[in-house]
Amino acid sequence: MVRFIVVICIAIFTQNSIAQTRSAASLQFALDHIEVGLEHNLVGERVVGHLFAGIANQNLPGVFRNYTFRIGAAYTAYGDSQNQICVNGGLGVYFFKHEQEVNAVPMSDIGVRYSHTLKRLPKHGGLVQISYRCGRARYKQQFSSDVLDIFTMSDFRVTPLHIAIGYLFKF
Amino acid sequence: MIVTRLIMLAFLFCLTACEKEELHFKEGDMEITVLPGEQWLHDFPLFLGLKQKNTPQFAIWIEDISGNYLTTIFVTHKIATEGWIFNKGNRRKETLPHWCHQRGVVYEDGLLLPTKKQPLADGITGATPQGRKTIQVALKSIEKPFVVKAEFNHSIDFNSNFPVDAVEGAENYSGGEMGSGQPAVVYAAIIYPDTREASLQPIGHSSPDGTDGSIYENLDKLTTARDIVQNIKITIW
Repeated sequence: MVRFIVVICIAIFTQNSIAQTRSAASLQFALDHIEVGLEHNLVGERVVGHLFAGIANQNLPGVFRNYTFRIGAAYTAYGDSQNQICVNGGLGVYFFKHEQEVNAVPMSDIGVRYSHTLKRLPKHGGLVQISYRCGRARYKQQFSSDVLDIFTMSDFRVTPLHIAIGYLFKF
Repeated sequence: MIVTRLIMLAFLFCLTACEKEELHFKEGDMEITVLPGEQWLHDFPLFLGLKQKNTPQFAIWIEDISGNYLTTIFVTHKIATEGWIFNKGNRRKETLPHWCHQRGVVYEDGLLLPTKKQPLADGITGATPQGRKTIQVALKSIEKPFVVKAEFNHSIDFNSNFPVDAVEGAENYSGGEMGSGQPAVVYAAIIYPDTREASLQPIGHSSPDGTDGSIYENLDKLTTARDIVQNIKITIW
């Protein structure tokens, strides 16, 4: 199995298809995260820089009250006129909000993105992103009532496995 | 220049986020420490045979010596905010029925469970910790003696006495396929004026299907549910 994965990776990373030069905007949806992004070629045809901002709902499903910002880069491992596979990674901050304050949680991510542009509408496309994200914080919570005060330390961890689908607009 | 400033700002945010905060106890404060047991993490099936290790749901609260509910100290997030995902509208009333009935707050749908619209305050809720949990309680006007109670439960924690195929209405029915399995275990300790240390002891289990708030004292039918928590320790400073 490991050999098979290594062979596939070598095949992808050494193929000679030319990646597309591009600037693009994206809109990604995950269960607990909605993100808009901008990307632009940084170095040559294969390395792309990206900037993302989003809203998230991790601590209260359905209520998007957290904010995220990420910067990073992607390497286009495979690309033809319609399809691209990028390996990407970045750093960012997850602003985790609860009643008393907002905690800034540093996070990093590494992932793979497949994007496909439409033949008839080459500026428009779809994408699937799978990432592994790291980010955790320990924070203090306080509750006061007439009868007692409660203090507790809680842990927040950014959901590690992130799967998103989205829309891509090239310009 | 702008990029440099953005990077510096991001760096500052990271430093802020790494600041360490801790609890500082004063004389008279009550420290509650929850120590996980062997069954703290429980397999929960996702899809395609994948499983995830789930942590238990629990609540800790105070009652007076006559059994009247006074206040909640901590409740896990899913119960406190209706934070279930893919529950298809199932409010999982069998999760912590004793706490729900003792608290006695009835919500819009007639159930005793907090809703997304009316969640409990952030200060007394949190994700279930992966490990030890410590809570500091500064008592203002609660007179000793009082009772600290806790209720712990895992979903789909079935055993031969509380099987997945138990028929609705039977005494061992626990909510069906995505139900509780073994019912929640209730622990309690009385805190007297001279108490310095105490451990909560199991006093029974809750209603398997969550239809009442009674405590069923016979724990013989429970297996793994008794090992969710190792100890709930109370220290009075």
